[in-house]
Amino acid sequence: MADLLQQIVSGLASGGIYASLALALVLIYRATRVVNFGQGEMAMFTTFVAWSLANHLPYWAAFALTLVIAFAGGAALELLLIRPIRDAPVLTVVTVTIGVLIGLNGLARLIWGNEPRQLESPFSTEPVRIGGVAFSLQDLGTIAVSLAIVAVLWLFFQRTKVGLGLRAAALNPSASRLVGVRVGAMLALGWGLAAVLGAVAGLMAAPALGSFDQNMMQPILLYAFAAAILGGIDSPLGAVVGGLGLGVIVNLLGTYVDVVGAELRLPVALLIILVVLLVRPAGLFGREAVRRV
Amino acid sequence: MSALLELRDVHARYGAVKVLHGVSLSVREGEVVALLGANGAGKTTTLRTISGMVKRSGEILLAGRRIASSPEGVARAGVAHVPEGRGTFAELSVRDNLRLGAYAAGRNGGFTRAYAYFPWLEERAAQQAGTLSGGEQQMLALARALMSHPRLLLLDEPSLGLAPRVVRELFQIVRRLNEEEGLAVLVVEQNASLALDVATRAYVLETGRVALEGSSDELRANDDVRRSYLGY
Repeated sequence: MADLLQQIVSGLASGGIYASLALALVLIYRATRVVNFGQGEMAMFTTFVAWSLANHLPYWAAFALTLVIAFAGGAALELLLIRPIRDAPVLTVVTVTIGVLIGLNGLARLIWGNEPRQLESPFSTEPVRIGGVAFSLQDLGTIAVSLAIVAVLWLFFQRTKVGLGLRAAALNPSASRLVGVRVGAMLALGWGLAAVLGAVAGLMAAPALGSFDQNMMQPILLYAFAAAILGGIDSPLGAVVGGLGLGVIVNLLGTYVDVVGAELRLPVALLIILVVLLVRPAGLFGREAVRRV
Repeated sequence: MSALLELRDVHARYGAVKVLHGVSLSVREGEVVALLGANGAGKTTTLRTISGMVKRSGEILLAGRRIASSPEGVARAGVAHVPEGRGTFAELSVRDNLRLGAYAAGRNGGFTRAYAYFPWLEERAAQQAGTLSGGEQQMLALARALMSHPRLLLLDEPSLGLAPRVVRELFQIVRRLNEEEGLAVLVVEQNASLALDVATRAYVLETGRVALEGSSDELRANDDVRRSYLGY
């Protein structure tokens, strides 16, 4: 029982990371109707930025500064690469996001080299005992940080005027412009926020991985795809629930089902993508796409 | 009274297709003006051109100054446009739809005003806007427009697809807004007799040009208008 609880918490910690990245995918999908294949490498890149900063600054200062840089970088990507092709077919935009993936991966190798790096955890590695069960403080910290960033974003979207403008611009751009929402600025803002979420995912993933290199986010991006599709690619709530749920499912299967073990966790995620797309394409919280003709 | 909105020889096109061939019209302060015409005459395009949604040439003045060229800019200058299809944010709540109406406005108090004209909206503020009926969505669109304290309201085919009773109610409210608040309105309408009842003046568009203009009474008495648009 204690073991099961530990595994669930550990799954939630991975799930928090998947949820953050899945939410980033959903944000951009809602605004641009495109799955951003570059999201994982954007997160990887910001993790390297954080690593460089952490060599000179206290952890949380480096963390905060990384989020600011991530925001600026995400917005800049939208302005420089996505905006010029906003009227292009979806496939063109997807291709550009794959270009972002390859470009950032190469750029990170150029800047930081190929050797693996370590980013210390801000949380103690000592376990804490709650009701006789030992939990990893790092797991609990990861869950707390992921949920905190999600909560802050949720409040921002629900309670502020700019958040309302962001939602409106994603749902109905032309009507948004008619009420005075600067839709172009909202898109850049959305990309910036998605990059911030990705940065949080990367920063939480790095210590959990032990060491990281330029490919660190690639499996995580696949889990995030699975999470987003499980929850519904246009549903922010779905991304969070899907991410946390996927983290727990994969961890429990990996721990208790011998066939899955450590090696077959990623295929489980891919299987989930397949099953969801076959059985319930809109996901748990997504809305069925209705096309009026 | 001076012109609040003035179009001087405005041309507009969608890509290679010219839709407006030199439209000139004006709306004075406190006036309701109707824009009549057959399908494809360019009525909706005229409104979209005023709002900066269509590429144009020619001059559009708002209170004597050149109007902004982007929809955001026009909205911020105090023009509320209720578009074809009502521009409802279907996934958002009624309250958020109204909040969006005030997005460009520099002042508060919109909710009091919107709820004064549409009291039922207050009870249903939390409801998802897409679940409202067509007539309710049109009322919501009008309430949303009020939220910005506009100087000018552009109203595109408010009667489209609505039951006659709802349409009468809607036009009643437009009339009240004009009489009680002095709101200037430019309304595009298929239902000419309805539009002429509310409007003081009207323009008739034919293939992208103003074919006729005059007071509502003059147009009602015009044989061509009667045959083509009033149907008697």
